[in-house]
Parts: sequence; structure tokens; C-alpha cells
Amino acid sequence: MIYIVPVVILITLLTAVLKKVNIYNSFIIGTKDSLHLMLDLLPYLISIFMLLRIFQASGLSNMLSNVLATPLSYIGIPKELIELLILRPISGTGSLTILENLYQKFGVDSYVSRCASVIMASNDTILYIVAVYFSTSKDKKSGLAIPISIFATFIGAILACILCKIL
Amino acid sequence: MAIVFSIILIISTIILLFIEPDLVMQSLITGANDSVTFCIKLFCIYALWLSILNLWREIRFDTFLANKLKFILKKLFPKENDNCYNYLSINLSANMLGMGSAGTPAGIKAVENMRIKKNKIMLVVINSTSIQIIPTTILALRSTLNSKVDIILPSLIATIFSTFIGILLVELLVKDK
Repeated sequence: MIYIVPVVILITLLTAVLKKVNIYNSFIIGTKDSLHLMLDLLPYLISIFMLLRIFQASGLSNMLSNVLATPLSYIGIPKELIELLILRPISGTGSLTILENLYQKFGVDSYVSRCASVIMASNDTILYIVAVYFSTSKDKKSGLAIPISIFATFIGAILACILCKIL
Repeated sequence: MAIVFSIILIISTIILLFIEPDLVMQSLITGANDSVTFCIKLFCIYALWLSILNLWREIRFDTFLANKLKFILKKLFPKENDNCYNYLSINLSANMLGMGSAGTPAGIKAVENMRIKKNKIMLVVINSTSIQIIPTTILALRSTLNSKVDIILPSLIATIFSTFIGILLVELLVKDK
């Protein structure tokens, strides 16, 4: 697994040499692109990260997980996973921390930890993706992108919990 | 997005007003601080991948990939230009290989070149439901903790299923504009 990225990069560089492409120039342009991209992105990221902090600091995320725990347990989602489910769409690093905590608390091969791993692996940080992808587009309204993504990943999470039971 | 943002922000502020008023300012500023740190990290990652992306364009690797994926791309994202398909093919293949950080800048460029709103939503949904064949980060984390049980198969099934549901919902609910 650790070979994929370096090999892809090496093949790219070698092909570029064969095709007489100016590699140095490409890197300069790429970095410049990245700089412009960051200027577009920063305002969106700041608002998401502010939201995340106040969401956790106010205890609202905890309250929400407590409220949702009972109804979700009926469809087979353990209550230990609710916080992960709520944070996964908002914060990549935040949800990874929760995953590590679950590993420590329940052991890496426990049912809860396996469900959590599958949920982490089969979802992505939805709010971040929406913010980033729409940041440079002229039309900023994301429409149904967030509700559909959240619903689809939620169905995926239910399936994950069932799969971990039978597989 | 705007509605979710306002609702969570207002409710959180009201709650904090009652339990810990200092935390309103403090947590918002910590959040802004976090994002700047994160942005610097992202800048470095994207600087590398946008450079590689430029090389891929120069050696026409993107058109090569797009030709291979043309059938699926035209079905999922109809009526876009070639430039957009090139970026899309890189975004999708990078995501499948678990190289998300390489895929995101290509995804941003693809959306920039898109004309149809429904296609933008489709791309966001496909990326959100994750189309990773190999969940590299999670596997790496699990192996450092000596995990004995494999999660690749359940992850793969859950991913395929949620992506399928997402695509279906976009096709059903989002109007073609």
C-alpha cells in the first residue's frame, strides 16, 4: 500500500522527462495554483471550523447524540457510535480522534470498533467537500447536495453495522 | 449549507450564553485559528498535487484516463466539456485508490469547468459517500494497533451501497438545469 503514491509520482516524473516537459515549471505553476486556491478556500474553512468548535463547546453535539441514541438503537446503531456519526460529516480530524478513542476503550477488533472503522472508511467529510467544491464555482448554492449525501451515508452506516454483525 | 450553519451557530450561542458566556468568543476564535493551521497544511498538500496534476495534463495522462472512463463519465455527468471530463477522471480514480488528497484539487477544477448544477451535486455526493476501494488511512491506523480482523470487505460493500443510493437520489430528486 505504501508504494502506490511514490510509484505513481515516479512514473509521472519519468514520463514527463521522456516527453520533454518542464517539470520545474509545472511545480511552480502548481504551487501558484495552490496559493490561489487557498485564498478562495480559507473563508469557507474558517466558518466550518468555527462552527465545529462552538458546536462541541456548547455541548450541543453531546445533547444531539443523547437525543438520537434511543431511536437509532432501534435500527441497530450502537449508542457509542452516535457521536462519530454526527461529527463524521463535519470534521475529518475530529472524527478520527473519536475513532481512536473507541479503539482504546473497546479494543480494535470489538464490534463497536469494527462498525466505527467501516463508517469512517465508507464516508467522507461532507461539509468540507461541499464548501471546497463550491468555493470556486460561480453558483454558490449547493442545493440538495448536503441532504442527499447525509442520507446516503446514513444508510451506509446502518448497513455497516449489519455487515459487521454477519461478516 | 447556509441554513445548517445559522441554526447550529444560533443554538450553540444561546446554550453557551446560559452555561459559559466566555466560551462563545473563545471557541469561535479557536476555530478560526484551527482553520488557518489546517489551511497551511492543505496548501502544502495541494501544492504538491496540483503540480503533479499539471504534469499529468502535460503528459496527457488525464485524457488517457478520461478515454478509459468515458462511458461512465458521460452517463453520470452528461453534457460537459472534455476539460471537465479530464479532471473528473483524475478525481474519481484518485479517490478510488485512496489518494483523496490528490483527488480533491482535481475535483475543484472539475466543478469550476462544469456548466450543469446537477452534475456539481452529483460529484459532491459521489465524493461524500466515498468510493475508496482500499481505505488506506483506517487500515494503517488499525494495523498499528495489531488488528486481527479485516474490515475491507464490509467497507467496500457499505461504500458501494451508499454511493449507489446517493447517485439514485440525485437522479430522482435533482432537476436537470
